[in-house]
Amino acid sequence: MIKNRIKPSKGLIFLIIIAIYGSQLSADQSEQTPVMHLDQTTHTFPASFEGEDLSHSFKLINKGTADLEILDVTHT
Amino acid sequence: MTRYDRVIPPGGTGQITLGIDTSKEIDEFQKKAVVWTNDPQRKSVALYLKGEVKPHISLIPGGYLSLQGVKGRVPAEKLDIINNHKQPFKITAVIHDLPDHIHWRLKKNTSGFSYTLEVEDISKKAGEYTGHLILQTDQPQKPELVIIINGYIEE
Repeated sequence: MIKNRIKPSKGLIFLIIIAIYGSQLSADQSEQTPVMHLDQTTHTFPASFEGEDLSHSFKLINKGTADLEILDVTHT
Repeated sequence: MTRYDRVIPPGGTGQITLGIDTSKEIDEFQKKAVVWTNDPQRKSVALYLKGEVKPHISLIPGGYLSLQGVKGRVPAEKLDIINNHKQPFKITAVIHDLPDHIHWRLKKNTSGFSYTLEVEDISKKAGEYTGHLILQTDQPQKPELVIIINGYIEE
């Protein structure tokens, strides 16, 4: 009689397995994020003359596990 | 000018290229661009470009002269024309559209890097006028300099 009380039912075991699997799945999904890394955020040009072309490329590294999307670049 | 990679895969690298229009920027400048991403920890980041853009030839104190005073006693005005490159330059011609109002003199300074322009009023009548004086140079990057001349002559 006591044995029967503490023995979990098959249904309960199934629910526990689903809960554990579900939480792992959820955790995996939350880790799939992009992580933006920039070596520099400021660039200083040497002195130049009017009319010269001045441009600089900032290097970005995606250290995450999902695609990093650049949605927009705005100027102020 | 702005160019950028729209999607960077995990572990990959990308570029954001920013440019400066140096025909519009003179002197020291700082430009800011904000990058918006889907990184949940860093949705935006500010990028800065700094520098100094010099004119090929400077006009000091500026690109205009104002002649003001009583007719016949208007003080002459001067401006310096300074080459910012590392070699001497020449002003090859002076043209203006105020033959009834101004007389000019140009003095080359000994260094060969600068001139002084002096303009005086020769108006025979009182009144106001505006015109242009154009300096032609042998410098390929700046073959012409335009100076605006204003006159306010009283009787």
